[in-house]
Amino acid sequence: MMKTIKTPTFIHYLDNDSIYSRLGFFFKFLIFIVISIFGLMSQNLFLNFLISFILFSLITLTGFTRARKSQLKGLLFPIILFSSFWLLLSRVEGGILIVAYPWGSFVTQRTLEMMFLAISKWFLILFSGLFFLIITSEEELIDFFNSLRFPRNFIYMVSIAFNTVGFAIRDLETIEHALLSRGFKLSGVVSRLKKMYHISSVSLLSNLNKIDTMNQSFVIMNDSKSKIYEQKLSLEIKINELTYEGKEKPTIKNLKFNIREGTVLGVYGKTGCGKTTILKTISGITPNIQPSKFKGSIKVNGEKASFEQIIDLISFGFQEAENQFIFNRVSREILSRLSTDLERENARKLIEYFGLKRIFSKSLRDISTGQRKAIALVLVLSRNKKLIILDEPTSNLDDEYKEKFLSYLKNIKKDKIIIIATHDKEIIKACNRFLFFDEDIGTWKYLKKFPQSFFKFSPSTKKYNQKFTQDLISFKNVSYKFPDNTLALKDATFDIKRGEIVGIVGKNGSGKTSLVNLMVKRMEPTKGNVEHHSKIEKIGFIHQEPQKQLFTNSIKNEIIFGSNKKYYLENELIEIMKKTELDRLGNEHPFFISRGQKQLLLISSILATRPDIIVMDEPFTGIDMNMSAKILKLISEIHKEYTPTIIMTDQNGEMIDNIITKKIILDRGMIKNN
Amino acid sequence: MKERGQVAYFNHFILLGVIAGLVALLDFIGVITFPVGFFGVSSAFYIGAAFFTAFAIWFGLYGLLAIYIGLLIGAIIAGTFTIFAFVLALGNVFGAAVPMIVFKKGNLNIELKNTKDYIGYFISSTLGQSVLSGFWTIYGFSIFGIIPPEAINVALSGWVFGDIVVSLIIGIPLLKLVSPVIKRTSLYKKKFL
Repeated sequence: MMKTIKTPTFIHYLDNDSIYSRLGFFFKFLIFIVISIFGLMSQNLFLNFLISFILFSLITLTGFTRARKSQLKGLLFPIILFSSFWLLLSRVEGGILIVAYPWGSFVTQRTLEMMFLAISKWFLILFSGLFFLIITSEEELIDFFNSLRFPRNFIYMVSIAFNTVGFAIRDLETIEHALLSRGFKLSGVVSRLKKMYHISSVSLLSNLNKIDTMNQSFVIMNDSKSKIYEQKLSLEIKINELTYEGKEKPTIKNLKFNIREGTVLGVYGKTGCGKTTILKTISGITPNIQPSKFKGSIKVNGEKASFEQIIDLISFGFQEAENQFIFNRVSREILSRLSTDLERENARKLIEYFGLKRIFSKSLRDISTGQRKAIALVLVLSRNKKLIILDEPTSNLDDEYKEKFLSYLKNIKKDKIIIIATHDKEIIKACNRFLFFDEDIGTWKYLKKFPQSFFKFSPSTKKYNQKFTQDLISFKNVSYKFPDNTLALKDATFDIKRGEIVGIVGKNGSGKTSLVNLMVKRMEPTKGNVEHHSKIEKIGFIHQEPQKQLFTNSIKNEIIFGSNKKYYLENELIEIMKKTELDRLGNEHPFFISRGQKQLLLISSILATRPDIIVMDEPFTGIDMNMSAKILKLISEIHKEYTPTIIMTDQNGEMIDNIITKKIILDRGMIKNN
Repeated sequence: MKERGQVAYFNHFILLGVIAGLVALLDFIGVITFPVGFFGVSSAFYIGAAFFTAFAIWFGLYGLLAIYIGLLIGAIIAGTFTIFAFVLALGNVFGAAVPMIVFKKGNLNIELKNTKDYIGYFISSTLGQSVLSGFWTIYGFSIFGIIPPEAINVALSGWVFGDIVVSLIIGIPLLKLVSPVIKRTSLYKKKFL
């Protein structure tokens, strides 16, 4: 098989002519298995550490030393590590004093031996794994597992488990911060247990969402044979009624339209009108994966299509990018999900086209939400399929990525059908047919021209003339670097006054989220000083992923949760729900509403707690423009009522320009204006 | 239908992967935040206990399998993995199996709607889950020489008391809040498989 993307698995210093490249994959794998089994079974502490030492030395000689250009320096670390452990073990009696303290008298000599044995085994298995990864190329590994169905799925399962832990550990801090942002007070054991309960249950719920999306994505994107559909494609879609299980009212009814090759269909409608459901029904996800009652038919070239036939035709991009990922690394995800040379070649070209080469070897957790979205798009577009379905493909994407995406669509649309559900008016340029939800009559319309009235909205026309004088936050030469040394912010100097509405505008990965985190002291700067001039009692923080910030089992309870008022007046609650149109959803569980509705609910809930500072990180993602305008109006009303300081981030500032009193433009961590 | 079989096939291993990941996370939190025990299988106020019960009730035998895999992965992540973890982790699996059997055989409502459901949950999560998992693990520790025999009673009472507190404070709201969601997804297993 031709290898199109050469990616060493762990470290980038594996040469093609190195001795390891000449060894067969199975031989390398055998070494790994033998050492691992030995590590699991062995009860000999000294032997475990000795083999670990040899392996680590080989690892440093192969990988690290080339980076550091000094073999001696590379060897120093394992030698120090080995000697320290041995020193600790030889003074095990002294070690008891340190290690035994938390457990008091329960610790025995045997306990300590067991602990050290565990550590030695852990090192041995870790180093044998690292050694195996360093001498194996990623393609070798993935192609091997892809060729074996059961082990492949088992490996995927373990990968999903590790990936879930990784994302969940990262999310714990976000969920905890969201909980504190909602006014959750921490005092006493019961309160701590409650906090742990809230954090764990929200983590569980957001992962249930993940299971659903991942499962749908995996089934729909699983066709590894990559059958190329030769005929010209036409689709006849007839949805008489689609009702989700557990719901009484149908989400979609009486929708019928035909499309053929060369069509780019834009599906437009207000938040929660059923855009995603239409996409899922066309692709067969409902009712084949997601339980629902479906009356109607999907015909391909005049014949009723089975789910399996549709899978062969389709490439589907889901709204929430990170829920589709199985592996933790960009390269691994792309190589494992794309099995043919053609698809991998397409992916390589797309990665270069989108300028994603620099993040190709990074962990999916360490890149921005927009970059994750771009990677998800690469996966979908690389597949050589006739029918491409995309759900909110441009949400979280900056203008540059968006422009590239749109011109790519124009190039590939000729022999494909592309269906896009979106709120983005830029996408209209790429579409030649529209499916439009007419709110006035409550039905879907199939149109050749887009009704321009849909985007006629007035965010908030009134500019503030008010002068804000009291200093609140000052940045003095603030810089921030991520642990991997990537620069997020450089020499930022500016002031924020109490009561200002600040807009932070910048592309994906420009440092917007880092800047707001530094403002509210969620992160400490690596250089410079962030000063809060007066005590900030309460910060309401809206993070980018709404599903990780909703804590109760109904919309009503969610708005009340964390509110200052002990008993919310029924009419006040109804007023808030009416303003954001959440009253239409009744007492639905927040898990089952759309992403845009979740975002609305979250914003309403935070505003109800009346914080001193309201921080909103890309608050309008997934929300239609009319609704965004209503939210801006609500923000404006709240600002007039008690003048909180409001900080908002946005990709291009278009939505927030009319409301903000100060704008900070960020470009690759540098402030471009002040 | 062929495609339905395929759907179920993927569904299960993704479910196993994600739930095992969550178990590993809970195990990691348990070990890191309340390091009262050893080797990733023991801790007082071990919040995982409440979740394991819920996972078993919701996902049946898949839940049990995920708990087992997750505990081993959790021990690896926490750096406390030994060969004994293969045996000791079974304590939590058998413990979680008791409420699962009680709920499925006794036709109890997983949303805890009436007194019968509450009694069933309380008995199965205390006598069943806490005591069985406690006995298995603490005696396991003792047999493997990790704790001395004279520490068994203290460790066991700590284990059972911690698990009861966690089952009541976390387990009940968890079942009440999340069960309605689980019931409406294809992940819920009415029977054991």
